[in-house]
Amino acid sequence: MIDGLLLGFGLIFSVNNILAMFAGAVIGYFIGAMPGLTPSIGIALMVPFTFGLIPVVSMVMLVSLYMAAEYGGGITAIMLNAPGTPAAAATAFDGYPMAKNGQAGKALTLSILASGFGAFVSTILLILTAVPLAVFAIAFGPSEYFALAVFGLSLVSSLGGKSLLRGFIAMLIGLLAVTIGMDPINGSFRYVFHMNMMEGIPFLPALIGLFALSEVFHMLEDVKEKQIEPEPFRGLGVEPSFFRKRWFTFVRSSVLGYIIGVIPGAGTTIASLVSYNEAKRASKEPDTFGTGNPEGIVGSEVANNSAVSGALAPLLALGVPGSASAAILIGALTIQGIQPGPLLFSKNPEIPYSIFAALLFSTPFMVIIGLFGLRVWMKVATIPKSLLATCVAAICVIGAYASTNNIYPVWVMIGSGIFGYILRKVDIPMAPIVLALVLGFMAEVNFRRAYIQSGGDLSVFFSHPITMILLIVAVLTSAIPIVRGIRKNRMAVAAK
Amino acid sequence: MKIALGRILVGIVLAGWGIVFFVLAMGFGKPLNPFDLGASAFPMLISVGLFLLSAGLVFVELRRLNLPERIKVKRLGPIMLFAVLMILYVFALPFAGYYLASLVFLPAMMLSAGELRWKWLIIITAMVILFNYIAFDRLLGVPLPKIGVAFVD
Repeated sequence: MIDGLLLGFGLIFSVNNILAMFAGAVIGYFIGAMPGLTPSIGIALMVPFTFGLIPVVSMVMLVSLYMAAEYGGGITAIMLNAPGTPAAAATAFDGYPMAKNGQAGKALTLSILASGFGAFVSTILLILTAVPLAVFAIAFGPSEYFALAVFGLSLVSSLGGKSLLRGFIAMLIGLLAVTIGMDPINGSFRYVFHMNMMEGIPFLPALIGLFALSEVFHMLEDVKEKQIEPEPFRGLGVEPSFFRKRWFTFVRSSVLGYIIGVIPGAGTTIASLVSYNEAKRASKEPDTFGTGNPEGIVGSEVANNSAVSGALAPLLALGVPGSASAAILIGALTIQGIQPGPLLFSKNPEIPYSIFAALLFSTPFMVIIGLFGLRVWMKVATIPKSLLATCVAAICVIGAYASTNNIYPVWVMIGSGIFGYILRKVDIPMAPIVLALVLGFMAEVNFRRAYIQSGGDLSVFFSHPITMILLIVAVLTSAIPIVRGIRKNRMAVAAK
Repeated sequence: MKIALGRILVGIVLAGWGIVFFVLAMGFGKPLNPFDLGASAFPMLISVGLFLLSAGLVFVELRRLNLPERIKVKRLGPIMLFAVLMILYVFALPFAGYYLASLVFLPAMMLSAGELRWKWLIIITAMVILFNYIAFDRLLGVPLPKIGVAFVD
């Protein structure tokens, strides 16, 4: 392995590769910050430009883009409540309230440093554990995926805001929305009243509507109010003691994000939501999450960048994509005449090891570009709301349109925006809807697959150890906040 | 409006959705595989859950109707006007194309939002159009809607 790493690091320090890393980081930063353009769309858009490049340079550029795009999604999530990528939705929970409180600079700095930390630590984890973890993850069958989805959905009890009842209602709205479209097992249509609905409710436009457009309407209420001036910003804007006190959140989120990223199909969105929830659960001030707690940004941003390295583990070790973006990377490798899989490390060692090196060395590029762009983004907070609302609305429209080059997602975005605005007014939380939109499909498909494979035997969910562990953790995760709530109520009654 | 009343109304609408989704799910057809639960099982389960919890919300909020907390909505008129203009903008996109529709509707949306300075209406409209042209049409190769694309379809 040492020889391979030396080879990778040797290759990376050429002018072409450094330029490729820089270009990848800049393009990824831009694509991530555009609501509607996901990292996978960004990679797909760039693949044609890599045809003429040698394989190492091409992969270095695409991998740097992938990592930077996950960071870029957090910028608009913080400044506009418009997550540039689905994984940045959890960043918006605390990032946007911080920006509204005049702490945009601190939030943006934390997001870039947390992303850089996640990228760096997860790359080390990738180098050390890619092969064994990928083999573990590939053992996941339908029952394990179902249990993973249930575990994810169980987070609603802590992400659901002030009322568990309203949190669960929000989750069910999301789950019901996921059932619209073609049935994933037998192909029949469900709630399809127009041909555009055959593929269901497009996730990203729905997310843009729920978060960004509903925020536009919210902004319009306050156009006459005075803008909050951003707090004076010196140096990095974050005290070193913040990192000392929260080091464990950084480490835990890196490990969590990486492990979830390794599981094919789990992805960066689940990683950031799970990690955000863990940061909230472990915090001494869980009630401040959602109102501008910087630890929430750390939990989300560290994990979504860590999941990028995680998603590359099954790709490099087994040739199995861990995410949509990784699937496109496999396509890019195949175009170059390279077959990803178990033989990649022996046949083309320059590819995996240069990817390792690119991930490590593109991190400083990503952080530097992020820090340079920070003061420009902070200016967004000073734009009058009447202008900003229109700009965000226009970006929402084009972002939703660009996701599939079709007007249908734009209507979904507008519908979700109006619906989200109404829900916000009656204090029904958005986070459980996002959770359900991400995990609903995974839960249904894998439950039904496991049930069919077992010949209708429900014991399949209790006989596999990983499934059992995940289901027990899910039950505990849901039950603990409920028990705590009941205890709190009893104490309040007793105090009265 | 009192927030409890707002929640009751939302609860009633969501419970109604639960019923509609449940009834529609009954017509999804039988599973092809004897061990498959079928296309209707999950939607039915979720709709029942949504109906029950929404009914629960209505019940809980009925007991809170005497609380003074109210829904805060400021400038409802301009917000509704902005939403209508946005809907018209999206409706116009496939007919008038991105550039023409944006030239008409973006300044109108800004006016409805309360921006009356003509200089800013022109600058922001030009900047948004130019940015999207450079970013999407030129750099990323994502074509923006052209005039009459709806007629071509």
